[in-house]
Amino acid sequence: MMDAVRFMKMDFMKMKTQAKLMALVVLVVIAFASKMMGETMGVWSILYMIFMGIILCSTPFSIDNMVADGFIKLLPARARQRVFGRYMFAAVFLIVCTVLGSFTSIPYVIKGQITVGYILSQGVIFLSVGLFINSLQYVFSYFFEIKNQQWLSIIRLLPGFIFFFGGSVLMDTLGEMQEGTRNKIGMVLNYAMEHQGVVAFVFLAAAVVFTMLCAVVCGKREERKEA
Amino acid sequence: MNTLEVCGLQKNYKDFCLKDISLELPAGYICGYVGQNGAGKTTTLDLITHQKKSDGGVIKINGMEYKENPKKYKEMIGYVRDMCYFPNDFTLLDIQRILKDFYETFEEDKFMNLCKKWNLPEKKKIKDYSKGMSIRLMFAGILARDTKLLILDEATNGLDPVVKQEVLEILQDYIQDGERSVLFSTHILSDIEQIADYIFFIHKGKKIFYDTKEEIAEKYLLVKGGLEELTDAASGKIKGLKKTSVGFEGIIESDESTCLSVKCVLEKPTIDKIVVAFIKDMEE
Repeated sequence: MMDAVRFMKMDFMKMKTQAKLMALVVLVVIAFASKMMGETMGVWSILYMIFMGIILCSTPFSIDNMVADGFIKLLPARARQRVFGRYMFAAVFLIVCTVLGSFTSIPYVIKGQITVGYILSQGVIFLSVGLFINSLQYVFSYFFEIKNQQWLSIIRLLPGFIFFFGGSVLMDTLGEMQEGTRNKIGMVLNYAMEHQGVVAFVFLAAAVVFTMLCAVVCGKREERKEA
Repeated sequence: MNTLEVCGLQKNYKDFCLKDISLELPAGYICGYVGQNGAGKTTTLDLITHQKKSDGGVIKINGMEYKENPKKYKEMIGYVRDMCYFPNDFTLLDIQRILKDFYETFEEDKFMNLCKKWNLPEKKKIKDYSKGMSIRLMFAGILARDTKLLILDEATNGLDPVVKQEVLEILQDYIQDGERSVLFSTHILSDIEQIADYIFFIHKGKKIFYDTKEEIAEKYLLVKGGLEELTDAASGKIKGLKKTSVGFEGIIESDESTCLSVKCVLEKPTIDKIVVAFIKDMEE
């Protein structure tokens, strides 16, 4: 397990340049959020930060692609620890993005437009979906080993865009459905809105299980390639 | 005790096959692993270091197979190649941090002393290092920890003569204690001539010969003479026969040199000449 933590630390070291970019993004989001004071904007900022996070989570794959073999694969650790470390890096990075996105919602909480509980539950739901999408992205990266930088760029951007724009459209659609409380979907959505904590917990549990499953599958695949 | 034992190593690709590669490298010796481009040198090294999975055969380092203890197996290996394998945006200090984290035997002071000795800048990014600096940094990372087998994959390609000589001296120092060995893959045979104790010649994925440098030099002779001295019997036994308007040159086994005319000149060949003659003979 310690080896996985070491690989996670190494992946964070690879993100030095991107960390500066993230700091800039946070400032932009805060500026945007403080100007556009509406309830959905408080949630939008978390969505946007996780969107950036999903794209940046694939950076270690890109960097490993650009470097000759011989260092990372020869570090004294099992291949599956490399994979677990990568998944841990993604989880921690997305959590950090969620927290940063939540901070940008503070102006809305101060204004009384949304509650801390709402931010928390929405943040956990978005994080869970982000983890789910990122895990799929990693499975694709490990199984298909795309070396072509142009294709890799598309694969890096696609999941994040699906998450952000898909999430935005879904939120609008669900909002409209919720207003029609007489239909079954509307009733379900109303129930979910009243029990956001439970929904968030279920989403997170499912995302964690799914992420761990993906990590195990990818870890086995990497081990088989070397031994 | 053999540092490296390879038995029946095999790897199949669509258009290339590494077949039945076997060698034993005793502790305290340097083996030159030579062959043309595309002969299978890097493939062999990738299999020994377990960066790729073999399709058959057994590999042991200090008597241990990879599956017995993958961590310890990798700890015993030092690997240097022709291209820098550190992430481009890392600095020397980042590399130090990683090596300290992963390798139990890594000595920080020794690493920093080597880096200072070789004037490697601490805060400069790896991507801005010259080739010579990258090679030195890779060596610093290896010499600062306890390894048993140093593997070089075309590591001296493109180095200036000063740095190249430095590398060859590092290799000779490395085996001084008699407990460590070097496997040096290259197609630049003049580098091997200087320092190798053993030569493994691979061609199109197959072992052609593996022996000590002295045995190989004893086994073969460089024969030169006028065209009139070249009999049919002799030409059949000479490998890599090169004829010019005034004479001929080639490599012949010492045992078969009796078929040559007394006027022929016999010399001790370089490894370069032997390998080129073999390749030419096999291509014909």
